[in-house]
Amino acid sequence: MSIDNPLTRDEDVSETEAYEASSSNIERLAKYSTKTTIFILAVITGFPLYYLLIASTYPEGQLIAFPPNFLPSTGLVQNYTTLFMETIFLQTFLNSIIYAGGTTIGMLVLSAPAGYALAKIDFRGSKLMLFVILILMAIPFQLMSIPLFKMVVDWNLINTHFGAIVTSITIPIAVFFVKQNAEQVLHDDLLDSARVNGASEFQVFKNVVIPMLWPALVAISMYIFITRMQSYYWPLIVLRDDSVMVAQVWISIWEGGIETPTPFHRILPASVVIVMPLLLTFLVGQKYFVKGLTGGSIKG
Amino acid sequence: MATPSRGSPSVESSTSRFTKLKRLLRYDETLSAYWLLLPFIVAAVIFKGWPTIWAPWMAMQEFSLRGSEFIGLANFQSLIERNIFWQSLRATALISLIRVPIAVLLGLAGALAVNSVFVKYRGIWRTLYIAPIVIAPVIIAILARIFLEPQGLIDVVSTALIGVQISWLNSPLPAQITVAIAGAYIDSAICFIFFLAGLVGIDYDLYRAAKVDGANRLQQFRHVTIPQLRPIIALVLVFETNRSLKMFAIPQVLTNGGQPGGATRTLVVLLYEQAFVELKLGFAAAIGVALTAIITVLIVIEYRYISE
Repeated sequence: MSIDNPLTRDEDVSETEAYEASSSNIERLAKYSTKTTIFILAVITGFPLYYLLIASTYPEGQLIAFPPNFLPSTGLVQNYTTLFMETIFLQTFLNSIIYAGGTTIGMLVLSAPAGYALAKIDFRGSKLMLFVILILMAIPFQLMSIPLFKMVVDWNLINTHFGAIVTSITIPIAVFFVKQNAEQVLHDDLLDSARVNGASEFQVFKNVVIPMLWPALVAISMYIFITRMQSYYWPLIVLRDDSVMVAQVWISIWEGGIETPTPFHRILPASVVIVMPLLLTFLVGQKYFVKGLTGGSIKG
Repeated sequence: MATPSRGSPSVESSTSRFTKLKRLLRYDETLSAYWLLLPFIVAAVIFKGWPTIWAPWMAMQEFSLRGSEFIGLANFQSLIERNIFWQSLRATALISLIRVPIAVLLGLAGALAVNSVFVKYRGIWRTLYIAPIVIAPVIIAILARIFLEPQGLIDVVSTALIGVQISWLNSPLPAQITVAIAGAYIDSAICFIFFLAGLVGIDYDLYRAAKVDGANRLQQFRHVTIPQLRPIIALVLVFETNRSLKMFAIPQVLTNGGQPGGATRTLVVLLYEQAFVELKLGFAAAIGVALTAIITVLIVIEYRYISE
């Protein structure tokens, strides 16, 4: 009785009642406000995606009408067939895939060995390397883009896939991500036992490290592919020619003027074609994607 | 028959051979580390390091068809003197001031709601909230344009509500708000991912302890969730400020690179115009240096302020 334990101390009855009343009020408030919030946010995030799909089916000039439409229209077949048959969209879309895919592969070739070496091999200068990588992550690409543009022009790589890809594959955050994962996944014992059994460093890398790092490599590849399919700034600068232009740039360069209204019946189906594969990739590998974005910096 | 006296030196020699072997292996390891890093280092030096060093040097030059000429700090001087830079800086600041809080708060609200105990089918909600990430900024800009054109959805609604037609894309402030919100739409998904990861990582025992101490939900939120989420909030703010200051695709497409009259011409749009349309590489490089300095200073301040 005399022990002053806050959990067992008798409270004033009215106080307890008051607490419970206010607590249940707050509980109810929390419940309804949460449900409202989640619903409103879902409408906000989902609506543009829905409207994009719907709007892509409207024939020329009928999209912007009063009252606004929310249901599919009749232009579906015609819009999409015209897009593929009569415009260069398909070519630009393939260019996008070449750019994003090439960048992803190049990124893997550079980052996987580098990330592993930084995580698991204790060599002179490893701390410095890591510091430099962190600095590189912080410097805006726009600053580098001006000298880089001059380099690309001087080396005659402008308007080539190779030029655009080779200037994009150095991605410090990818190295950092691989390093974080290698630290968690690879154990020194395993690597040492492979070495003692006579495997060369290259064999260790190929036969032990790569298979164990595979999930992390898939995660970062997916993240880089999706973001590079969306990249706009650098492709706009170095891939200007029709034959190498990426889809993002193609849909953005339509001039909407007073006499020629923006051809939404071309742009919107093209947008849908760009978004759909990314949406599917994202749905299949959502967990990987989230990991790639948070860079292994947060667990969960 | 091996005698004990002959045994010990052989053991010794075998251990010394083993350490030698180990040393050899370590040497091999160090060498191999350099080999493994070599491709990345070479690429990073050529495509990241060299341009980074070269850019400030370019900012001190004037480029023309005949070549380049060293002009010292003249580009920075004209940066300070020309109104175009200050206008762009103001636009970037204003748009960021609208965009960053909206993105962060939307992301936080979404993460709290999805992580809440009252919600079922979390997987579906989570997917829905992350989905905007797959819509590229260019496409968001085009969608925003459809909504805002005369007779577009938002235009119709706002006209009905206010009674006056706002020409969203042709007057400065509405255009700036539009650009900010379109950017916040995508970035809210990114903030959401970070916040959700952070919330999931909070130890549930802390909530249990708070409940035992008689804290209601609001107090739990105030005294457990917020302090635990603090490092993530700092991280997200830094990340989001960085993204917002470098905004390019949305103003470029939605408002044709800064219309009306430069109200939405952000720093990166200005840099792009100067460098790749007008080919004033030196002046553009000066803008790039200024942008880098601004981002660095802001991020350091923000990080210091929040993490302490």
